[in-house]
Amino acid sequence: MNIPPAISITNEMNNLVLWALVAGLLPLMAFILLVGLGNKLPRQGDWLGIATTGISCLLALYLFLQVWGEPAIHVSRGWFALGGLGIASISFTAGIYLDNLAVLMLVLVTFISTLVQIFSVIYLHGDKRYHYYYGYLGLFTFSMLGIVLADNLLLLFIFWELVGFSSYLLIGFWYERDVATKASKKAFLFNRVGDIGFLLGIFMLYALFQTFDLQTLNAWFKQVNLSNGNFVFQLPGSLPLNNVEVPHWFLTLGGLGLFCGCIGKSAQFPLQVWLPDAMAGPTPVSALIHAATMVAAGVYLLARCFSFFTEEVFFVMAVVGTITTVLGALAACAQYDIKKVLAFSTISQLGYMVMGMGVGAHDASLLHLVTHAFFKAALFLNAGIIIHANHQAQAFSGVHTDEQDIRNMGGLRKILPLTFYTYLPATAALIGLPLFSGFLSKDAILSGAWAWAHYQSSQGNYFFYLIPLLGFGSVLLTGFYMARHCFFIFFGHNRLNAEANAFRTSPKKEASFLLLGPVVTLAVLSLAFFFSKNPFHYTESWILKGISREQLPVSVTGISSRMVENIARILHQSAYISLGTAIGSVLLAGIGIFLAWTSYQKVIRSGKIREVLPANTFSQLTLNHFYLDTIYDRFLISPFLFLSRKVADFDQHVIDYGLNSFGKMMVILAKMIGWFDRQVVDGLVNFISWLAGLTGKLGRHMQNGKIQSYYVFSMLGLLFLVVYIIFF
Amino acid sequence: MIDIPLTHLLILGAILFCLGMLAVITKRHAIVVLMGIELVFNAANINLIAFNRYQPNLMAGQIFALFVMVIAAAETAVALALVLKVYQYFKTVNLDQIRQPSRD
Repeated sequence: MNIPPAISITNEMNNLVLWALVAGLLPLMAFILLVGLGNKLPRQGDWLGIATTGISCLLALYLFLQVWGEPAIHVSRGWFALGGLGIASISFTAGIYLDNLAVLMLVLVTFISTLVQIFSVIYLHGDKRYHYYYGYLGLFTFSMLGIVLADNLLLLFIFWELVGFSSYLLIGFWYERDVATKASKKAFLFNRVGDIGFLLGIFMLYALFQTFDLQTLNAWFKQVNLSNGNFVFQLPGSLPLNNVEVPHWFLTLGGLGLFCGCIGKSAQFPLQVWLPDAMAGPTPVSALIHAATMVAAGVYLLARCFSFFTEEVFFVMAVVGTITTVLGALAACAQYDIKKVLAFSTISQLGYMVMGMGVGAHDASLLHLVTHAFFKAALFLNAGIIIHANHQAQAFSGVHTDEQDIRNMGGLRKILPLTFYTYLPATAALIGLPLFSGFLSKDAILSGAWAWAHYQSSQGNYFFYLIPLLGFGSVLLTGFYMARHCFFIFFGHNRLNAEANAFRTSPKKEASFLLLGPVVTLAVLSLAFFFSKNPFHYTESWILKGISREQLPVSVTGISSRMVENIARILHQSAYISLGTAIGSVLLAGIGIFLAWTSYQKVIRSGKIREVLPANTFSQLTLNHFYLDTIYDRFLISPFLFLSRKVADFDQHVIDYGLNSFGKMMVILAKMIGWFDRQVVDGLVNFISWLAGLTGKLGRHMQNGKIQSYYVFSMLGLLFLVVYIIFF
Repeated sequence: MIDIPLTHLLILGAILFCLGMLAVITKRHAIVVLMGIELVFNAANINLIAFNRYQPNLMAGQIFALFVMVIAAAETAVALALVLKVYQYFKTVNLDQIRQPSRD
């Protein structure tokens, strides 16, 4: 087998790996304990969930400090072997891989998970399945850490599925609600569609290289040569694939397969429809899973497999990412549900990340993943506070309307000031205003996209500029929908007509510290200072430097290195690109905010804000997410159901009928055989017995005790004897 | 001496035998049955005498017939004694009624 070049593993490294293992397994332990005997623990064991994740977070920070900027640590052990006994056995390894990206994700996941669990103490207080909730969160954290730490694709896939499963459990947490069960099923099934592609991609890579190990694969792709458009892999010392030519299309297909996994998990077009529905879960779950971490797993996967993709796959990625971005942003513009706006915005931002990967801006995309995780989690948790407050006010005033509808809000700026002032920086980061984290990452992605278009259009095809242009368009849309969101929620006067105190915990305190603490922390972390020394320019970002290609162990970018290196050169040479995108995106965002203000003013002046509905066909289209669900329903689900009904009919009327007829025939046959048995076989037996009876009777008549009749018989016998002697 | 054909004698013997048989089979009275037996003996005697014609010098048939008569007389004496004993025991000589009284 292809064992990666032996890196001498020191004791210290082994210890780090051990700590990473502990950090990963602690939430699993919490899951088992909480689900098993959570309701017997004091406070239903929420402290257990928070403590284990908190310790994981501290361990992650320790690992981060130890590993960041240092060479990667890779420890793997034999996992299992297949075959043997005469056949060469195939062995699989499993291990932990710690590099800059892994420890960064480790900190991100455990940190946000801890904050969300603290937040949930109040938010889910009194829920009857409170301990299950913490248990599921533990399971989720465990599986997510598994994805981050796994060093091979098979292991990664297992955790990938576990993440999907825990997401299913949490979306359907309030399974008494029909919406929630439907949404959880939908999310699970849509993810399955992507996972099929992912699995096939893994298989294709395995078929070529006989290993799942990411580092071994990376080493293969490092030694690649191009000949006649096909790839020739060389790895000195290993026999099976030395100098083997692999067709271009094969790797393209494999890469598309891996990308399918990302499409499903990261809610990319055309599978993004599950994410808005996933908002049926508890809001903190939306913050953790469906905004910050799990949906980013697809992007993380792309980063891990970055060197396996051909240029065609990158192109598909860029296109899909762009479509997702634009569709998500457009749909977000027309929503009225506070969580739906954020969900579509998440789709749109995930589109940015995938687009970033597609244009080769691997590090920019990961930076956006990190910054987005913080500000989006802040937004969702804030939305949670607002929903909570609205709920409380409605219960107080006796008015019952949709507590998540932003048309029923308004004026919360004065009622919940701290929420407002934490909402603002997160919103600004999402829009991409300078000084906030989103500015850096979005700027990096858009610059990358521009450089990519520049590179691709060097043959004179300017259609490639559509991708960065649509990216810029989405910046405007982002400005519009987030500003509209804020105006509706925080400005004007409250449209519930409830007292201000009805929203607050007490007149002096707007909400519990356990709710506000996490939100404030996350909002502070949406400032650009935490991510870059120079908050106006992304190239100064320490994260970006840490996770750039040069820092990742494979310095050669794999089979698309020509494209990626050219783009990097273009970016390096033309500083105007990043300056231009910075200025351009800020201007566009400003225009978006201005448009949102004018349209908000128009609605306010009309005085019918609570009844406002999409004005024209286009906004109706976006409100309904371009009727994608309807399209799926009509063109996929309905035909499928129709088909299954038909198959069921066929089953019932043909196969069952056939089986029934066969059964009936068997019964008839059995009856016939029974009749035959009774009449013929039994008859024969009866006949023989009757015959025996008859002879018996005859014999009995002979022995009637009359001497004369004996005489007659003996005479008759004599007569027969004589007749016999004479005639025969 | 008129030469009577052998066939006639044999037929006479057969008729006599059948009549004796008939008496033996059908009659209920033991003595009548004994009489039937006598007829059967005599039918045999007629046959013996008839076949005697083929060896008239030896006279074997006629002498054999005499023996038969003697033995028949002796046998009849024994049989009559038996019938007498049966009558004493069963109080009947009707063959159909001679049977051990049933136990019940």
